[in-house]
Amino acid sequence: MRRVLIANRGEIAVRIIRGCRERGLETVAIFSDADRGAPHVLAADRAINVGPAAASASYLNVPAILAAAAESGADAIHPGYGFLSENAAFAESCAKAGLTFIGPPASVIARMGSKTAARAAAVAAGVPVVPGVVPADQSPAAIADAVRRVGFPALIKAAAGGGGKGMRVVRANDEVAEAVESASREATRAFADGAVYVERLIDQPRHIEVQILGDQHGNVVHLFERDCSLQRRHQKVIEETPAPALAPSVRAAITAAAVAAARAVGYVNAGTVEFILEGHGAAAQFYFLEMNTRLQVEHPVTELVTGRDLVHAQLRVADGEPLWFTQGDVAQRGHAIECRVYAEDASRGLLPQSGRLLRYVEPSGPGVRVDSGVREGQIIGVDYDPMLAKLIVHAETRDAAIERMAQALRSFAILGVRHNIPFLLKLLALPEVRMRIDGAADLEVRGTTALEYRVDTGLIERRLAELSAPADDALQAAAAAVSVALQSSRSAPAIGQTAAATGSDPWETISW
Amino acid sequence: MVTPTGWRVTAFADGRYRVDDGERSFVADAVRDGSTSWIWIDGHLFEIVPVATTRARAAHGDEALMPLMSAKVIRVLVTAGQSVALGDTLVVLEAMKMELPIRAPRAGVIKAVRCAEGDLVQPGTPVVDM
Repeated sequence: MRRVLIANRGEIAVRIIRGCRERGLETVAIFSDADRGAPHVLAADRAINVGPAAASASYLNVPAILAAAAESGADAIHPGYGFLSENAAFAESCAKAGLTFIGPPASVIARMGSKTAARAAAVAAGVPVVPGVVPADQSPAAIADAVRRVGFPALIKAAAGGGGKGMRVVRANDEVAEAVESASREATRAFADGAVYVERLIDQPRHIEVQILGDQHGNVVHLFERDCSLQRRHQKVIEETPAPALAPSVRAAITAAAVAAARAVGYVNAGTVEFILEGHGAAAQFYFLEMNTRLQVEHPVTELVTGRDLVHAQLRVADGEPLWFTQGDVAQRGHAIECRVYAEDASRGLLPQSGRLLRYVEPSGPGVRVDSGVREGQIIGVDYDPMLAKLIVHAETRDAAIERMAQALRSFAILGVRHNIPFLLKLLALPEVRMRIDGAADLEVRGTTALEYRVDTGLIERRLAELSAPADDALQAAAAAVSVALQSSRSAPAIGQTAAATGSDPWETISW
Repeated sequence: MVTPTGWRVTAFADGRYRVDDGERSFVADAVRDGSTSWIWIDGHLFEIVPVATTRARAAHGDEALMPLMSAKVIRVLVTAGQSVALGDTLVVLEAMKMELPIRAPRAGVIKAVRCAEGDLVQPGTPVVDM
């Protein structure tokens, strides 16, 4: 491997380009018409336009991407996450074109990409799965029947799904017809495959996932777990590691199950086995959810706590190197948290926002990492995912990491586009999230009922009103005062000066 | 300068301001976009818009349901003259591959449907009049 084409955009493309350069590899970026001059384009040694703004015509355009690889003399392709990263046909096309696909073999992607096949693979490997039905007959009537057999509440999921798309919760009989139709329609549009299956809905679970790394010589290790329970509509918002209040016996069992699942399918490269966790302490039960055959958005928390660079690892195993460390060499040190900073409006149901980044100043300091793919002055459009940056912190303890994150979020100045940092700060301040977690060893000694960590995947939804609340009156007044100063700094007669003179408030203040 | 709100504001050259009311003190980041002010203070974001713009928007938007972002119409579930109940889904939009239902904010009668399946609709453009 000598020259890597990164078939992605934004922060993950920038992060992969960094990793490649550190390994002495040349880099080729691709970009759409909407991304000319974007940070990932400037970060790479060279960049090739692959089409118009619409992802389907550019970042998902396989012929254009393969042509870009040929034109630039790339010998490997890193797909990042999203876009073509879990597209088996793309991995296959890369192999046929003589390119190293930095990820698992196409056959593994195909198998794990079908949630139903992945579920069968997990069962075969002795890994527990959520009780459910995979209807062989995919007619609406048969799916509705499967929902009734599983019982309420049930969850309809797209077989080819991910990211919450094509997923519907059904709590009563009269909701079945609309949910089946809607899930199938969304699945067809998002994945070109309308097949769905039905599972028992585990109420108030935690989302725990295990990072896996496999080489081409049959070695598989795990890099411990991540807790991604703070989600909204199945989209992760905050991730952390180690998982708070996870009993050591459960940690041992869940990581072993993930390794077993990965081994069973012949997994190679970095991947993640996702589980849901029900219950507390040593009595908690985990169930296989799915396997993601790619680098995850939240991989940095694992990097900080284990000290292993996952992009370097991906590049090394893709180049045929055997793993250079054993399971016994992997340890968790301290605590890491990641917040996803999105351009979305918390006061309007977290709707994606667009606009120009009039000011964009990232925080820094000890234990603070920012993975971003935007810069000041850039226009944030509606063509792609609204994530602006990932803010990741590392500290000695969970409490210290939360404090460090709160300070870093407050000093992350983003103006010109509404974003979710105020929402993230309120989320980190919730008593359920702040709950003091005693050492894991202490938990084991005190038994299974001593400590119940109250965060689950429904927490954000339950507290949405509180999390979306506007700033208090005093701060609104402070903002109005700054606005007066700001507007009156113009040379032309300013609205602000009038306001100061009359004492009236001529503005509609929108805060969140 | 001291403003009518009781906060003292000191401007710095880099677009940052110290605000203090004698008890609390913050450093704010502020940027002007025409007559709109964007302000970041202690983890709170403010977009301060002159009221005239908002009123004009409110006046013609009173009975109209508008998308909050650019989106594609994938389903139209009502027709003009139809009675709807609070919370009924009227139109389903799609943006960023997610379905965004527009629901009735109250019970009432549909006056006009101003979009068709497949249309691209913009924020501020009514899709349904009630």
